[in-house]
Amino acid sequence: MIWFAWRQFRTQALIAFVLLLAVGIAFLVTGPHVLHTYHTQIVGCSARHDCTAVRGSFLSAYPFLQNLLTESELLAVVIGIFWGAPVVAREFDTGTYRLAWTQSASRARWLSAKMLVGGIATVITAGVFTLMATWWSSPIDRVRDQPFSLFDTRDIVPIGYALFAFALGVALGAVVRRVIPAMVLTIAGFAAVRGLFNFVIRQHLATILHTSFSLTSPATTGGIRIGGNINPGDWILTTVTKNGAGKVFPRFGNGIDFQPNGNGSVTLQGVGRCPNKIPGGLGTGRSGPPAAVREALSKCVNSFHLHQIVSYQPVSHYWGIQWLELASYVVLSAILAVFSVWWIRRP
Amino acid sequence: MIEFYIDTHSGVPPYLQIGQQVRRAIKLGLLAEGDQLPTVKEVVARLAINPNTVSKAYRELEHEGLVAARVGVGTFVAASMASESLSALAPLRHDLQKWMESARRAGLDDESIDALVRECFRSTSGTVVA
Amino acid sequence: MLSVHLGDGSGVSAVLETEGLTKHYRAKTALADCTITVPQGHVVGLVGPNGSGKSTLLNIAAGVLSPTSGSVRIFDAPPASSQTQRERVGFVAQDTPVYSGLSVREHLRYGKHVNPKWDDELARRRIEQLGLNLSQRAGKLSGGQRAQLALTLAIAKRPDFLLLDEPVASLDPLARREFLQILMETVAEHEVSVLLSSHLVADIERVCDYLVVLVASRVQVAGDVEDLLASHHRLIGPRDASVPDGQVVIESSYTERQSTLFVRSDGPITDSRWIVEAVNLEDVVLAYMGQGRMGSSDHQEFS
Repeated sequence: MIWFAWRQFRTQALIAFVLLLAVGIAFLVTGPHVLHTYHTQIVGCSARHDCTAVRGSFLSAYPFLQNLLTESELLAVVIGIFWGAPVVAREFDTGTYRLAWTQSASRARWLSAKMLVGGIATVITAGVFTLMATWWSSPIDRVRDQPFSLFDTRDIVPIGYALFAFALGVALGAVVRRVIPAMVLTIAGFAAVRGLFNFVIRQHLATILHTSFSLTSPATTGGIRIGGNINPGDWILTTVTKNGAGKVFPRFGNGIDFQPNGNGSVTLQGVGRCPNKIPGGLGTGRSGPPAAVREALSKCVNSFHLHQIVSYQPVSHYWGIQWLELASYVVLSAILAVFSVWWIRRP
Repeated sequence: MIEFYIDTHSGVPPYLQIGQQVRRAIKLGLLAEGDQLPTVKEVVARLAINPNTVSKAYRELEHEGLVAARVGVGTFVAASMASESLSALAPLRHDLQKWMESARRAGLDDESIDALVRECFRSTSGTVVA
Repeated sequence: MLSVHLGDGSGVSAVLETEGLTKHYRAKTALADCTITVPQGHVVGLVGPNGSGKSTLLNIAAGVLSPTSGSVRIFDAPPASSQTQRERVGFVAQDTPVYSGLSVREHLRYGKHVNPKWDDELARRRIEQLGLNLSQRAGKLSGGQRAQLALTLAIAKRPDFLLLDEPVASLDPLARREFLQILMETVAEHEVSVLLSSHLVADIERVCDYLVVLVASRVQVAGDVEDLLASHHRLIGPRDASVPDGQVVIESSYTERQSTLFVRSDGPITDSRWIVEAVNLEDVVLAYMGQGRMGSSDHQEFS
């Protein structure tokens, strides 16, 4: 039965192999250049004082491939609808289930073999692709230093997504018994579960840390930066700004802005009017705001006794969450697989 | 070996037709004692009829003593036309042919000949020539 | 509903037994209260007009479809309920499904892999006999060749019971004849019981020795062909003559002066006013199909 399952899958496997090869070649050809650029431009940038500029251009290198990587979510969806949905549903569409189910092998053995072949192929395909993607973009990721921002497309979780999409496709195909509707439902179901994980579940997969700090000297006359004290790679979940009395201020986004009111009066937007006058309004000289202005602005901010409570996942939790999320998707896939076999065995 | 055929429109069940064809063949000397009849498998593979039909025909022929089944080997003709009747066949055929020719010469068409023959056949059947 | 069973205490066991078998879909009823006993060792013909439930019955018996209510047993067990049972039953579904991307050779290999009792030599011999090209993709075969391939797959697993759903419906006369030749040869050689459906009575007459007539999802009559032919007659008599005793009228037609009745005889016909004629299988099938269409399964008494 395994031979037969493979034989049925052969064309799909071939297509995947060709596509992987094409992508692999693209990565292989451009990868060394990325690495080279990293070592020549980024590594010594601080000595040359051109880090900002070099970093900026490096982060936008090979935009086509980088975009491809962010869209690599699609890989799982494509696997789900082209490998998963047809497993059972196609045999109903073509009527061949009437041939397959009247052989001596049981339906359970039949479906198990097909799922095993498809599942292994899914893991290999997603694994190879993600491996190549992670390797190729590792210099860029190091510069970006925001591992959580591309969590979905690196390291090991994409394998879980692909396997889940496959299992979901098989299960929906078994229930719905038509390929096209099964494909549509697979996309919808996959999107729903992924959305649930991304926005609700993932942040709870490791202990959330909290930290609190006072907001004091403003960096510029524009306003106060919020969250700027956290590690740049950490994943910020929520920030709450409170004053000394415990009053919670509404969400401030990236910072709190100064709003000049004319004749020296300045308002800290959303918080209140500065009790002191700011000399010369918010004008700045050529080398930044004069010392007197900065002192007055600091005094204004301190009068409100603002502090921030930040909930976040530190970078150190990254791999723990990757493994846990992967495990969750694998468990979901297993449940779907068992369900599929149970469903088709019903008389 | 004899080859059977089935006339689906004759109104005669297939198993009877097979029996008839065997009997006729024996009577006409086309099948002699010891000749093998085709196996059930061979017959149905050619005619696409139910094997039970052929088995039944062979069983009835065996019942009549015309054939005998040898297990594992086949079914064989067990009797022949009585030699006297066999020897009487040729002159009878000859006489019949002569009669046919005179009937045609007298102007009888096919239907009339047929009707005449059938009438005589009917009126004489049942009477045994001593 | 009439059932003429072969049961005479001779211990002939049933290959298929259904009781009150029913299949409802949302919009219609495909099979209604079907109760039949099909004995082993026969080629059973299942006849009826399109939509009468033949396909439904066969698919349920093959274990590919589940009934709404009622019971069905193959070799005294539910269909496809065990490895042994699956090995003993072969099925050729309507439109003879095959995997169009796979070659003939790969189909045989498939059969060998999933059927422990697979007779590869038999399969290859048949394919050779049919002149099929082993390397040809099944999707490129003609309708007749596909049907033969499907039949070969079913036969080579050496089943004890073969179910065929309108296997020759879309075949030309030559392909049809070849299919039936191979089927009969297989029955003769391997002693397989067969249940095949058709709406071509001529084919049924040739190959079947047991008949089930299905009309409007109900069984009208079931029985041994010879028994059916022996127990049904056509009666022709004067318009005013009453139906003789022991005769059940299946179909009747009248002119001003004459009655023609198609009857099932439960006893001898002694009324000399009636002319008694023998019937053939097509007459029997048509009469019961007519009766089924009218929706009545009781005889009509003429007084």
